Amino acid sequence: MSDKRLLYFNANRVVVYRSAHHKLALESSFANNEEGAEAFAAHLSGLPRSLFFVLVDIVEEDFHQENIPFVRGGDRAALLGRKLAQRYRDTSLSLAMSLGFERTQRRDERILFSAFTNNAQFQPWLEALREAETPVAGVFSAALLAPQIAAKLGAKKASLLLVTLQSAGLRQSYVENGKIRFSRLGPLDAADAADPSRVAEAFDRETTRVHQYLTATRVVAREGGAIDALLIAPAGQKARVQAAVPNMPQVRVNVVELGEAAATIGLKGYPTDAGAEVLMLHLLAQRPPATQYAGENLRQFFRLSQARKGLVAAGAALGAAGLLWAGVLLMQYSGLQDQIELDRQRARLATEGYAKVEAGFPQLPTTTDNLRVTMQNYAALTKQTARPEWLIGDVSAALDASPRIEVDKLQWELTATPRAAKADRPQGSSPAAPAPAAPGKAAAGPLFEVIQIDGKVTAVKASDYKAITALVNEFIGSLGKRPGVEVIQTKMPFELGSTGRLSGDIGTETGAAVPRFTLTVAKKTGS
Amino acid sequence: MKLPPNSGKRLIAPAIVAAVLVAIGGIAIVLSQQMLQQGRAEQAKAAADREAAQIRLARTTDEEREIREKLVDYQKLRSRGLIGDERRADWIERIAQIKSARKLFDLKYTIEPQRPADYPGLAAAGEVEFLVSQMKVDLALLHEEDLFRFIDDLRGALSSHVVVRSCTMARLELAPVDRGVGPRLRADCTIDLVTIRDRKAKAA
Repeated sequence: MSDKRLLYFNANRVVVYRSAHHKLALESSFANNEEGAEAFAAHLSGLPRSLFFVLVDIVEEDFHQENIPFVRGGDRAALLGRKLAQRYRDTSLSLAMSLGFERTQRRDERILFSAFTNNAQFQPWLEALREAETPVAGVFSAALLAPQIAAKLGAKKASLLLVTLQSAGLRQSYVENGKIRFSRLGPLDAADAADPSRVAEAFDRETTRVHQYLTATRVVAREGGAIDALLIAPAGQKARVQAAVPNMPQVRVNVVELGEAAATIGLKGYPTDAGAEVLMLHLLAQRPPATQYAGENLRQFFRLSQARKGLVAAGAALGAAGLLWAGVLLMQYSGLQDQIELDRQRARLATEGYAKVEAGFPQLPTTTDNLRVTMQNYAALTKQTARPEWLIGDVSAALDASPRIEVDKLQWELTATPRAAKADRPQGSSPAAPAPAAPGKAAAGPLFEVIQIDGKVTAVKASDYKAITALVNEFIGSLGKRPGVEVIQTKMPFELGSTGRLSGDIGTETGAAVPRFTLTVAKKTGS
Repeated sequence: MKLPPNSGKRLIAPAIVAAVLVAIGGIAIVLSQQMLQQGRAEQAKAAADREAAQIRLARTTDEEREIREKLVDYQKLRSRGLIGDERRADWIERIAQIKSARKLFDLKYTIEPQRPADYPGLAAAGEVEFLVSQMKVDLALLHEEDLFRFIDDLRGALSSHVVVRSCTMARLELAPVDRGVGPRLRADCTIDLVTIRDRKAKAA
């Protein structure tokens, strides 16, 4: 952070103070002339980059109150600019400060216009600051600090005449409702300032004039009674100044010593030979007034400094927000770690508990998992293990009931697709394996025992289609009555259906031809 | 607000500082988010492990009963010789003994090379493998009951699980002069001889 430096400008001297840790230190002092300005410029080049506040304490200043219509935004700014230009020849160091609104229907705004009326005397000094690219926060009048001093010193009244004795002279500032209404610097030589009776005399003289002015301009009501005045006396002179102050019917005077005032506003150290300006300088460094006299041209490097600080501050704020958010996430992560540790601890306890119980298990010839998988798979295999004699036994039972049926050939097999076309396989060929399941998955469906029966009908004339068909159908019926047995395919000795061709030779003996048929029978394993 | 000429250059350094600060904050967020995601995954795994361990512990009694039951069956398979290497020499010897005992006319067999069993419903497990040696037998029979007894004998005698995959029986056409005590049927069957390989099985 750059140092704060305060340039105290009065008619005789220009003094540079450095403000740090609630202390004011005199850094350098220059005569208010051309040589002084040059020396100041040289002094600036040797200074580290610092922020300057300029406090002007001169006689050539003007205060003027005027009401303007109730306007806002750009119109108000234009109106104020126009008013300033109308009143002052040079508006480069001027201001317009709102004092509030009239309580009328028009709600006119009361504006205090103020400007330094002889700006030429500042130019070499301000130019030196500009040349050195020094950030200047603003140009302030000693009058602008009066409301703050009055407030800090505990003046509870709505209006107060603050009288301060400083290097430039005796300044009287009339503060009303926390805002400056009028200020005047009366000349007082340094020799006179050291004499309490001279101070009291100057106080009497200047206060009478100010009171007359305020009464004439109706700032103070003529019949409004006495006004309060607070006089800040030089160090060690409070009692003598108080004794010397004349009895003025229109003013109630209260005296405070500079040291007491400094302590009250928090100023811990200042040059012993300084006047009440140190109070103003300290408050200026701590909390500068919102309004000041300088235009934007003089404050360019202050704005640049603000922009630089703003950029870094914005980056720091975003970075800090990021770190804060990251901190929140890390706290969540930390919470998760605690939960993980807790879960692991519980899992460990459960595993240890299981191990203790497992120790009581019988000695296994393999691992528990292998034992389980082996027996599960063996159970699945057993379910698919059929005994051919069961279904063949069903066929034998049906044959017993049909003595004219003889079987030439039986083909038994285990299959998952019993209705698939069953071609005659040559002797010794193996059946298609049941459809394997995907690894780790259960069987897709049940298995079936299937028998293809090749048989013939005996003891019936081969030309007796009707009897032969009836015998085969009787055999099929017997098979179908067996539990779980289903005849799924039939090839009869003759095709008597309407869709096939039927031919014969009635009257001719058919000889030794034997009527043959083929049946396919299925039964679900385990049924 | 008015800035002096060439302010842009003078704002570069603070802009860089600001960017670095923002980047630090951003990087911190990204890193902490990654850590949090990783932590969530770890926590989900730890919770699943904990739940599994607790469920396993809670089911200990059931599991012990299940293991005891399965152990009995496992020991039976083991004592029958189903678990372990197949013993083809024993099988051949036993088949010869069955032929002799049943007085079968003719018996030809072929045992194919061993291969993994492809039955539906067998769960894949790396340490337990069901293996099949497919045997084809060709028998001359007097009666079909001879085939069923032969298969029953195989089931009792071989150190494997016997699964009949197919069987074909056909009547032999014999001349009237041959219809004495000779074979009347011919059967050919395909039979799977299943054994189990358990890599973690301890020596008996």
